[in-house]
Amino acid sequence: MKKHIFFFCGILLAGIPFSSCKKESSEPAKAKISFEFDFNVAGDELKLGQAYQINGTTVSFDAVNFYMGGIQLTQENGQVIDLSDQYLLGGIGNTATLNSDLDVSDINSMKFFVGVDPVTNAQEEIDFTSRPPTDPLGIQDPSMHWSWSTGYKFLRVDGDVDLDGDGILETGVAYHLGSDAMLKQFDLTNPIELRSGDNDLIISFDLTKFFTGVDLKAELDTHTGNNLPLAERLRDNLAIAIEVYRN
Amino acid sequence: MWRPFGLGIIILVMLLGCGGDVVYISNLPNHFPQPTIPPDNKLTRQRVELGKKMFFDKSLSLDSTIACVSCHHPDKAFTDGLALSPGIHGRKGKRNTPSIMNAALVPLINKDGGVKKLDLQALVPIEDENEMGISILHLSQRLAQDPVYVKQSREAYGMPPSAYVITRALASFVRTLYSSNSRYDHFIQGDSTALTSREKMGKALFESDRLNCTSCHGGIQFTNHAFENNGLYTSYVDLGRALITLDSADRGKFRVPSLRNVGITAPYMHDGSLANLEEVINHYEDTGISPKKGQSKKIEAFSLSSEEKESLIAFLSALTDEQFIN
Repeated sequence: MKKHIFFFCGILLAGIPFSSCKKESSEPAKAKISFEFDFNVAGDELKLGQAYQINGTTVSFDAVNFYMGGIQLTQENGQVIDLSDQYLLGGIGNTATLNSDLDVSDINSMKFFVGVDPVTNAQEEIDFTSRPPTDPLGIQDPSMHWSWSTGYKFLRVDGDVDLDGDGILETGVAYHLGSDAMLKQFDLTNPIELRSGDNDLIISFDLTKFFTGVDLKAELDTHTGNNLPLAERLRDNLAIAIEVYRN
Repeated sequence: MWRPFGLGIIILVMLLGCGGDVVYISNLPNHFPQPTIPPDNKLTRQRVELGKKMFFDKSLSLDSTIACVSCHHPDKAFTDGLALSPGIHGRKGKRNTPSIMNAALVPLINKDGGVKKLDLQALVPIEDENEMGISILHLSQRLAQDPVYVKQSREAYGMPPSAYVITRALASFVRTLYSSNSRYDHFIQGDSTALTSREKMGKALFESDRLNCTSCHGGIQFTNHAFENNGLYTSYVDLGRALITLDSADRGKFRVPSLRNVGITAPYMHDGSLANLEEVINHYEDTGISPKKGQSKKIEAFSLSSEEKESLIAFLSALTDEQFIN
């Protein structure tokens, strides 16, 4: 089944070192790494407002977003491409660009986290209101900031469910993860084998796996602190819900 | 002519020629701490004026029915006398409206301390679906359509209305709401006639080890700004501080409120469940003798006579700052 790929961001990298013998060397070829987000329900393309069956409950979604940061790509030669000072906001229709001037090839491991690092999340000096609209950590719609608590929503999934089975999705659900304890680290050591000029990374987020073990008819919301056990289960489910692979 | 809110309570001095009219709060008594003003939001006449305009403006709510002042009445020390305040569409707030006096001195804002700086506090009521119910982005766009707001916003912050402008302007206004002029303040500054004999008896009780009130409500602010479980319930629907820290030991803990103006800020407790000061004293008398699980150890067992309770209430009422509320 064809997955809808949400182009998210790209990194332009100098892929081929120029020769020191030729001052008039041609423009270095650019290698491009794209991070693309694939939101799906057991492999089916996620469309907002469309009904899906998850764990026996009919559910539709109207917002699915998460922050991804701390990105470090390690090459076979041990060179680390450090993009950890930049953030991606995974979301349908979002686009952004990360920039790096490092050469890249043969990536064989990747680290990142879902969430926002504690210093940035504290918003003590710079907060989301003082960042430009183009900054993923700036103000968003739907919002990715808490209002009742200083900090970011690391991940939000909002939608509606059909509780009584009448075909009408009448009850709102909201799953918002935030606070430092909700930061989810990923350390992918399986070779990704990125090579210059052919470097699309797919970040797949499967909502079916995200809700593993969750009864959508009974567990209608968490804003983290008000239902910490559910928030922790959802955070832990990210390990199976998110996969990274080469296009 | 611009007039600071509550003129006579605070005196604002404008220092001209410093990149704008920088405002300083200058008449705080010596026993009162100076507020810390963040460098990116210096108090200026334009900012305070803009924040004041917003504070009284119902268009800051989704359906333009609720302003900040709808719940924060100046004559009740910026509370409203209700257990839970009505928001848009008649919805009820989740917690009792707190006073916003002296908010510039509070290190962690809100009853659960979730907001780390006053410059972001306005988001709480603005975006809460039970209060003003409008996203800050939507509100920014709305105010940016108003030529008066655009003009004032540019004068104050050099930019049109935005989330930054709204939150900073409201914080600027709130920073001017200083209450430091009760009869108690006169008394501790040397006016021995400022308190009646009954109020002095109440003061002695309040400060006694027997009641231990000052372990939480001590100091010039009558609060230690800590978070405590005061034994109101055995199990809390509102988890309080635990919502922020995610620590189960913090369930039922709420920020210790200042007792300044406490005589006019009924009802009490985080949910407004106690109607008057007598009920509050009775609550502590009961929970001191029969503590609930998780309750603060600072609550001592005590018993007061009716006369002692009257004296204690008289003292607490002497913490009212008449200038501030008028």
